[in-house]
Amino acid sequence: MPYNAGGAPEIRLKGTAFGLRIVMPAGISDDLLLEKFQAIPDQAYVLPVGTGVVLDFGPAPCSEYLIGKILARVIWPKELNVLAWLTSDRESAARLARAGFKSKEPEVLSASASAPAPAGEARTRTAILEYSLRSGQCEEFDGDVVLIGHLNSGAEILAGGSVSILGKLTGCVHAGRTKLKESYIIAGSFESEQVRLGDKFCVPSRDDSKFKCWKKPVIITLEEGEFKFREWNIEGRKLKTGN
Amino acid sequence: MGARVIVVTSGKGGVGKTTSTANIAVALAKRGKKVVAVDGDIGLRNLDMVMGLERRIVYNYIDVIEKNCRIAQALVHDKRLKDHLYLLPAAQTRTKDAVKPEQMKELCDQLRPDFDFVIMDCPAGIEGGFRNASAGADEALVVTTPEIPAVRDADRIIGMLESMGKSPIRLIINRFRPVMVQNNDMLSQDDILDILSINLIGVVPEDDSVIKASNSGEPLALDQNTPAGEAYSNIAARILGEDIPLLPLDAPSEGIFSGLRKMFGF
Ligand SMILES: Nc1ncnc2c1ncn2[C@@H]1O[C@H](COP(=O)(O)OP(=O)(O)OP(=O)(O)O)[C@@H](O)[C@H]1O
Ligand SMILES: [Mg+2]
Repeated sequence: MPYNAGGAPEIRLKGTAFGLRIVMPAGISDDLLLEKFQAIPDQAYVLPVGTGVVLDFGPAPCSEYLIGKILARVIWPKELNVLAWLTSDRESAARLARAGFKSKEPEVLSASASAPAPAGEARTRTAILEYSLRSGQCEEFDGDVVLIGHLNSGAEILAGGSVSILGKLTGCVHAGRTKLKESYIIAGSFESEQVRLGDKFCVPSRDDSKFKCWKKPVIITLEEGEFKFREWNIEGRKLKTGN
Repeated sequence: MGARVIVVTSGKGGVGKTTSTANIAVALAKRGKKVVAVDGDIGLRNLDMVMGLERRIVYNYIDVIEKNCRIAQALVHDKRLKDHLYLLPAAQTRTKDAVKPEQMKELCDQLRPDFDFVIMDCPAGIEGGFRNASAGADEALVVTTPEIPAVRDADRIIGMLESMGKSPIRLIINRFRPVMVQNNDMLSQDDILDILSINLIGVVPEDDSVIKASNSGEPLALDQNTPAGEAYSNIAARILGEDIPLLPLDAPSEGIFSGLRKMFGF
């Protein structure tokens, strides 16, 4: 991620059909990783019943020290249901297997067999984040995202579906990464240099006569391949009611 | 229990961390607290010069960590504020990799029993130097100037301090120029607080005497007759929990500036 350039890499959260995937960055010390892990706000773990978290270490090794501390400081205190510990580092994988930990990618939705999803399609989940994202922070989800807070300059949200930001949008949103057609972006105040929907991006003009939505509440959609900004404001408006 | 350990940090360079560290340390010492200012900027140390103590340095805290001397031998006593103000210098000839965060934490813990305040000057950036300087701190003061790049870097640093569990994290706006804000050429106090959403502990005006003071090694807060010196003195009072109101800053015209300053309370 460009905004992380120079900084210590961050833990990534990804919403998935089985719950939350926690992707650990490579190349940072065990203690720094623990510090970042402990700092993930509790709201991130508010998950539907029957789902859980997957800890994805990628190619990074997972030491005995780290496993012990993760259990003691995060998993047990926060009462998380761990579906799998994933690592492609052989020694670490063997260490986890010996301890009887699940080390296979969970099968989508096998965890919630009681509530079958529409055939062939993982049920989309909406991630609701009740905090502001500061510069350098990045969150990624497969489904839709509602941010009850601001997306500050230098922060990013990546989403498979739509993104609604109830506060100010000054950072970068990339919505519709997998479900382009139905996706949209909503912002309480639009102050961003760039937005992305699917594989298209838009750099709004700062010239007032060309772009009227700066610092206004907006809904952004793609219509016939073009970005469409609509200002919305329900205050003082006579709203029509459905019959 | 012992000292409160406060790191002074910013993300962006040159916004006034060292100036703030020196003046807050002086102002707290003047209020009768026993204070040590620690230079967290290994290899680019400045705090000794701003405090006017550079010629008195014999050892530094790398010597303490490497067990070349005891901590008491490395402390430089500032005789202007007898028994109240000390400097713990950094090594100028080493780099940020010379210490680890755990060692800095241990160093702060060694200082705690003997002081009321440990004020740590942090280097610019978000890498090792920042991690070292903030490792041992309980609280943080984030310094920014009223410019967008500085504010964005402050936002980044605040996110990192939050994830390290520092609390409280409070903001100092430095080099503020009311006239420029009034002409819409500078971010206002409200604009900045709106972006950063943390508590403000003080606003320090742009003041030429800061530069004179750095050159002469006489921190402004030693005597309060400058706008910046007074602002730092108020910040120290707020750190001690005194309720000194932060009033909105208007733009007095140049001539009557000093008269109005009192009214506006910075
Ligand atoms: N309120 C002020 N008014 C005028 N000049 C100021 C003010 N605050 C700081 N300065 C000047 O700005 C310069 C940078 O200040 P300082 O060294 O304190 O910043 P810093 O954040 O510690 O920098 P670095 O990141 O390099 O460590 C100095 O020359 C200082 O004299
Ligand atoms: Mg400095």
